[in-house]
Amino acid sequence: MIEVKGLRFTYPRAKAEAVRGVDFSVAAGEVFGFLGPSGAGKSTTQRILLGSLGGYSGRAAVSGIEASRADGAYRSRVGAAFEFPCFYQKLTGRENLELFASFYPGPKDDPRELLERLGLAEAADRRVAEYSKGMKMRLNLIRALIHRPRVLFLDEPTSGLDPANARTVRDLVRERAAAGAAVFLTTHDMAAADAACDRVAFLVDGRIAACDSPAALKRRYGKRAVVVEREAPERDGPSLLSPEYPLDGLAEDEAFRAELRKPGLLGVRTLDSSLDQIFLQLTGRELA
Amino acid sequence: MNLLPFIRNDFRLLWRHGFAIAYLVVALVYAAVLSAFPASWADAALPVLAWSDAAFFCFFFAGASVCLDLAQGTFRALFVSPLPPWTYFLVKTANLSVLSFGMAAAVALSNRGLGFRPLPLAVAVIAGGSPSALIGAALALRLRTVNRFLVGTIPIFLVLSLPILRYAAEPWIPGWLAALSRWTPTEGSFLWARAAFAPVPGAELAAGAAAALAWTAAASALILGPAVRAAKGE
Repeated sequence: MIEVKGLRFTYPRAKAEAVRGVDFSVAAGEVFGFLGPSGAGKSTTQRILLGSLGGYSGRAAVSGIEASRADGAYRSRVGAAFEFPCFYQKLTGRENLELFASFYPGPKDDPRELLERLGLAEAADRRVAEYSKGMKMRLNLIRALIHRPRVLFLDEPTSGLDPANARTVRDLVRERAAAGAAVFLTTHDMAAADAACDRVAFLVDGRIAACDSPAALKRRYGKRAVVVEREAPERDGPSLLSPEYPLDGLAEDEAFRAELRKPGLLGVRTLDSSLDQIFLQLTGRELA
Repeated sequence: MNLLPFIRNDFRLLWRHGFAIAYLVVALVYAAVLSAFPASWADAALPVLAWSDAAFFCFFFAGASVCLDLAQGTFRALFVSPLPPWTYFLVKTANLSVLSFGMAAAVALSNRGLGFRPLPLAVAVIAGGSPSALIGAALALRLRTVNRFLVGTIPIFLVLSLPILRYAAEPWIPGWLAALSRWTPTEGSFLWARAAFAPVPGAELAAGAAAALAWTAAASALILGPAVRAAKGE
């Protein structure tokens, strides 16, 4: 569905390349996370794939069509939800959806169902100027989904949402992927990427530093070990952590078994890496 | 592509942003001014007011409408949709032209009753509104805010007004200025506005329509195209 090969781009009047030879592909039914700090080249890559930015070298194609030749047919296959929702403030949510959906050919989803699903049914006839950020984010997603796109570009889709709405959004994205859409998700939120993505790519300074499934990356960059956590001897003190015990031969490890028999057992933790830790490990930089 | 929802919602926006009310208020002011004039003055002023409905209002309101889209960020969503950019400007121009025609016709009716020709008036609105709206929209895409648009377009506004200057004061203005006024985007429209209220030679009207068409094409190709590409690239 999405194919990017040797993609390079330099903004006019800029000295350094914004994107420096990026390769990846996203298959139908896959949720692909594009992760990285601000200025890493995520938005540039997305804008190229949306057909908004020309003058690149290499390949950037959706459904076999080069993004530089994006026409109406290309754009009708694509749905995009930007990080900062952009709507006509003096139109209602429903009017905005009617307007933008009218630009796309083919069958559409019933806006009432999507509005209901994302908790906006009651606000549908209020002007968007009266919406909170979270409501605009949800309307943003509905606009991206309503024409049943085969490729979805989502930029921070759960930003500003409470946990319940964030979960609904993730479920909806997974459902669209299960129905065959390719999803390109750009985010800083490692937990959201971990929960929603089949594969993630870490983009640093215009290059992909690592690309795999979250589970594989966590195995590759984490420790195959556990620690045992016990209550602190004094009330309200920090809990105690045992030394690390390797996973290999854990069942026969007498020291580990003795640790489990000590009083005040709170739990056993694996030392998998989180995606945040992997990012730090790969780049030495904090996610912004 | 079904353009009806776009036309309908664009009209809603013109109404909710107060553009339609502005047209109504100005039409009332024009009608009141004309009614206060002696008949000969009113006859002279009527083509100017009818023409200004298209030439000035389409220019400023198309520009303001684009500035509102820029402020709300809606171009980003429009440019990733299959909507061809020319359709966006066509709908804006068409809606503003309809309002302009309604206003010009109302002003003419208030002063002349049915004693004017609506077809030349409609041509005047289209011939004046199209290039003016496109130039206004293109300048707004470059200037980006309403304040910068209002200040930055003063020289263009003066150029668009040259046909009126020649009409009102041809014996007193330099020859080069009179000649320049014949090449402005609004000259053809003004000829048609005059034809709505008094006879104008057919050859002049044909030349005026051709000039308006050429200016519309030139505005689309030379001004609007690069402006849209610049807005997309930002």
